[in-house]
Amino acid sequence: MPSRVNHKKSGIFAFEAVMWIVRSLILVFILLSIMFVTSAFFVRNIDTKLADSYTLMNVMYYSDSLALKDPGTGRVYPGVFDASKSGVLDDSFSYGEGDDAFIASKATAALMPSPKEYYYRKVTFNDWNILYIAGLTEGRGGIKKVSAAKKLLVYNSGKKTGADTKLEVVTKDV
Amino acid sequence: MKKRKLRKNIGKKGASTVTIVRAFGIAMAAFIIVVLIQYWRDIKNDTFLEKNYLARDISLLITTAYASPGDLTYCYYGVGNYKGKFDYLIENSKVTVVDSGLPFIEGGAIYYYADSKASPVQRVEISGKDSENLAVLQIVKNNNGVKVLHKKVGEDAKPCEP
Repeated sequence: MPSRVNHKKSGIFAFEAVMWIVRSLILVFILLSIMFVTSAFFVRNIDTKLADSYTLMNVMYYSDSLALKDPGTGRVYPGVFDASKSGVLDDSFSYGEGDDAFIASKATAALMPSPKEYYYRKVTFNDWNILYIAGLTEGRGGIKKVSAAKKLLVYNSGKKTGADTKLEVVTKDV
Repeated sequence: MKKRKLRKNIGKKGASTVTIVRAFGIAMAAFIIVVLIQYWRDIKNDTFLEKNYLARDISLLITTAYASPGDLTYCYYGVGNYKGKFDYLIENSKVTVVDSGLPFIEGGAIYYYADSKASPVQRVEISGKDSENLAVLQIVKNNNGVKVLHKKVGEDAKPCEP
């Protein structure tokens, strides 16, 4: 049997107000759950990290960033590394600069007596490579790595010699 | 029966309170329905995937052209499917695609391409009438670097013709 107090206007209102706060919270929770569950099925992003990595490899192999360029004709010799070029490729090209950095790479030509290394963002490459080795590969901030080895010609002081080269590209999911 | 008893007990003032509370309930339900309908509309009209796809596709093509050791002309017809729907901005190693008429920072998809520091790709902005008549993007690589040209419907795009 309901009490007298509850039947008063203020009593009903107080009770209903508390109930509606609870109901509202439940409704908002259901609403957010529906949005969260449905959003999981929508594709809005495309993962192109692998494509980016292989494209950057091709930039290093075939463009004039590392390959020998004839100064007279401007012709580029793809697959022929110019050993006289600086080991820092950052001055040659840009690929997502500053806060937008998402890719870094390293090329190693096994030259005698010591191998020559070329970097695109050396510090970033070394940092991300450590994270990759540590196993941080999944999710946001995860590092992906692609490596390839090729036997290439290296143009060194007027001589062309064959050398094993290794290319490593790391990308960060940002 | 119970309701009648309650109404009888609570009197006129109490009954008005019950009505207010019920009206609030109906308003709450209506609000939830409106939010859900709006959410569904947003999802239906969302073009971010298309913008993202175009930004990445164009970026990868420019990077590929830059990687090319020789001369190259590539015709990208993908943009022709979205005439007047999107605006494009290619500059500073970035491709930005936004809904037509919006500034290039709002809700756009951005992606990056590799670009020579000695001879970077010249700035290209495709918006308004250019976007409405856009048929093909021509990516040209030669000794002077990479250039992106946009061709209108019916405009001479000889290297792109089969």
